[in-house]
Amino acid sequence: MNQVLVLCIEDEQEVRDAILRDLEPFAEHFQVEAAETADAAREVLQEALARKDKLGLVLCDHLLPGQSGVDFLVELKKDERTAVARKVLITGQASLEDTVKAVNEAGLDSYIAKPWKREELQEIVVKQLTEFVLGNVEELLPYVSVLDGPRLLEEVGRRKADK
Amino acid sequence: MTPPPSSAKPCVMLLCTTEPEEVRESLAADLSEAGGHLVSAETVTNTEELRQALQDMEERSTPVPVIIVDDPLRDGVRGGDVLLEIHEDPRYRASRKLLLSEHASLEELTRLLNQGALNTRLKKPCAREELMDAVRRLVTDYIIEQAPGEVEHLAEYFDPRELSHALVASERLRRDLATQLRTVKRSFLSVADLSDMQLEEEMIREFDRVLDQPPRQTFPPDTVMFQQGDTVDRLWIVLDGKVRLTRQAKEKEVVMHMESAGRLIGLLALSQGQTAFYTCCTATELTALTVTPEQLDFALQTSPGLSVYFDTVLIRTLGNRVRRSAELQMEVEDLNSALARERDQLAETLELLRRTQSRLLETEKMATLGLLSAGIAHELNNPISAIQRSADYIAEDLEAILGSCREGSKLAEQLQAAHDARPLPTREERKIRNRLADELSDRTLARRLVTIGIHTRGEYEAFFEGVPREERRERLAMLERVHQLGSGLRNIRSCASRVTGIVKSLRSYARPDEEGPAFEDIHEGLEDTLLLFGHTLRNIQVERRYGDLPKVQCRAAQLNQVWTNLISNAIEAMGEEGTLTIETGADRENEQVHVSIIDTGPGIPEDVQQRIFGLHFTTKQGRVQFGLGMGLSICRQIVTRHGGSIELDSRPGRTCFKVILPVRQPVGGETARADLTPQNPTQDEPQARQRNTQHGGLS
Repeated sequence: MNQVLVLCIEDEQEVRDAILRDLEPFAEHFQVEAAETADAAREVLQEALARKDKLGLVLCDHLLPGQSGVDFLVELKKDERTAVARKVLITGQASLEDTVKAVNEAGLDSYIAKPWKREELQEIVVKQLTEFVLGNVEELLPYVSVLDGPRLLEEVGRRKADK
Repeated sequence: MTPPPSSAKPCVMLLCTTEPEEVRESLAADLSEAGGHLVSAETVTNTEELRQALQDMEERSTPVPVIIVDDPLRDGVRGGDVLLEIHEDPRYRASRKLLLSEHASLEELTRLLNQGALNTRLKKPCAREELMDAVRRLVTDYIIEQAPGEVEHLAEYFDPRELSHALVASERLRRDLATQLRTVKRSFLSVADLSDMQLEEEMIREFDRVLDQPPRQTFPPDTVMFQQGDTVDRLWIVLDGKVRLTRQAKEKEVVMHMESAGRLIGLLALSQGQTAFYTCCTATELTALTVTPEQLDFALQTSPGLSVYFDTVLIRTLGNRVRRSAELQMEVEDLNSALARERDQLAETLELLRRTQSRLLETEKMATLGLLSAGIAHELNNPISAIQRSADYIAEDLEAILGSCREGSKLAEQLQAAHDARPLPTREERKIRNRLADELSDRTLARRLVTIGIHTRGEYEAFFEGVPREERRERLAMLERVHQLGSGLRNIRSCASRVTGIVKSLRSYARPDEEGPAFEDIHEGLEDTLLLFGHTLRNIQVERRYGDLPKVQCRAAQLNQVWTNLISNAIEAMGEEGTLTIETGADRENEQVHVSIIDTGPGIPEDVQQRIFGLHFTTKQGRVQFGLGMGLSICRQIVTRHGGSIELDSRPGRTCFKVILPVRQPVGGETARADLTPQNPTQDEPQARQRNTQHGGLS
């Protein structure tokens, strides 16, 4: 079965650990991967796409060694295989200019300011992943327990009715 | 001179006159008698004849001791002019010249005398004896001057008594001439001696006399008599009152003459094309004589005296006005130069103010930054200490709890392993995870195992050996939690120590409590600065080539500003990526150290290099911009104050700012002054103490 990939890009190990732990509840249903840089993220993405997995959500820091987070998001938006992925910036240092660029050019879906709270991050992840699976996944039932159950069930009902 | 033949006299005097022949002959006889045995007389009637006669005498080598010219000659030829013309000819220069005239103008006499073309002037009509005496004296003069050797001949021809008489007379004549000259001069001098008022009164009296009391005109005060550019057809001679002469300047009417206007009004207009140069307005009630140009001409022709007065008044009036204009001009010049001086001073002051302001702004900013960062550092110290201490206690407590549990030692081991584990790069972890997932055919299990540090199927089986399958799941969950605890503690500690490092750097960077120059480790300052650059350096490779440096006597906080400026300029210059090299070294012999900040940027253009230390600190959009040249003047100030220098060596691909510092500050050196040190301890301390008590005893 093809999986939905959740990709977290953060260069600081401790911060990355924290994000990953916050993402733990989603690990059962999604493939959660982490990367230090845009380059490393690209590698993960290649492997996933090769397995026919879909990129569902990117949580990305802005200030990274090498390519910046915003530029990487813009790149993802331009690639049709990843254009539909939900994109979230999680950062403490992006300027207004960078953020506007992320919104306008990368279709940024959400912005998480550091330091963040677990509930806040998980809420955003639930919302974004729900949007993603609603639009891009046929089998919704597996996600009911971990994402926005009522919305998913509603959609399941609608789809059944359509058939 | 040859002795004269007894029949003829050796010299000839010539008389040029238009008198009838009988008179001429009688005159010639008289003159010949006066010439005694030496000089005969011949007469001519006009200039041509005179010239011809002189020519003849020249050819016959006959001296002409005396030339007498009657005035006027025919056709209005003036005797003086004839004498002057003859005198021009060097051949006749020695001849004594006598002018017989009824009228002689002062001017003509002066001219003749100054040219030396006149020896005697007799006023017609003159007595026969007077003329003969004069001629005798001139002849005697001539002989004495031209042929001193012939003087004895004079005795031969003149009665010695007569000769001595003649000599005496000659002397007298000379005196007369001098008297005459003095008189001539006096007529001017006498005018010169008169005061303006006397002169003007004389003039007005003469006008009244000649023009028979011309009409008086009276003007009330502030009456415009004529305007600039008006045609003026008369001259006013002011009897009483004053006028104002003004001229229209670009912006206002300028008063040119008041006291200096004088008594003659309408003067310039009359002398220059009839248009008024000034606007003339009465300043007081004014009474004046009115004279038309025709009346003026007539008066001047009729009365030579008036003409002298008028000319003199005219000259004096014009002189006064010229003087006044010159004074005005000088005043304007003085004002102009005073203005120019003031303007220069103002510009200088303005520039100084600007510079001071930008320096103050800089100092102020640095002071604020220093205070703020010191404050923040201080505020962070307490929480971070608490965090660190809590982490330590949690670790201790956990160990104690685990120790009391069943299988606790294994869990404690796991905790320690997680705490001490070196985190793997995401790529390696993923590889291990994928491999294990393949081995176990279970992605989720593989992920959980890798998280707790189990990397192979072998390790997995060894770890859970003897654990019943149904318990394994529960056991794994427990292990995961312990593992998370371990790595959580590790993260808390490493992050806390990072914060501590930043706080320490911030404090030692800003040094709000720095008092005077102390011996400091330059490398520490550089490291503090680098650490605070943090993310800015993420794409820049930093290469440290630190030499062995002695401690340097300096104000560390100020030097940190220098490193900050130089490093941020270097980063800015390199843009996306590059290598920042920091090189230090010591010159022990000269007791100097140097710090070079080298970047691989595009280099600084040569023309900019010249000015770079002078460029002003600027702010852009309210933010401090550390662009090229920004803050460099401040850097140089600080380094100079430390007795050091900054050298710049830039080419494309390598720009090096080399700071050279003496190890010791000269005694009484400038760093003793603390005007760039951004704090006021007495203000700051009570506040800080207050904060301490509020937050309680964790510090």
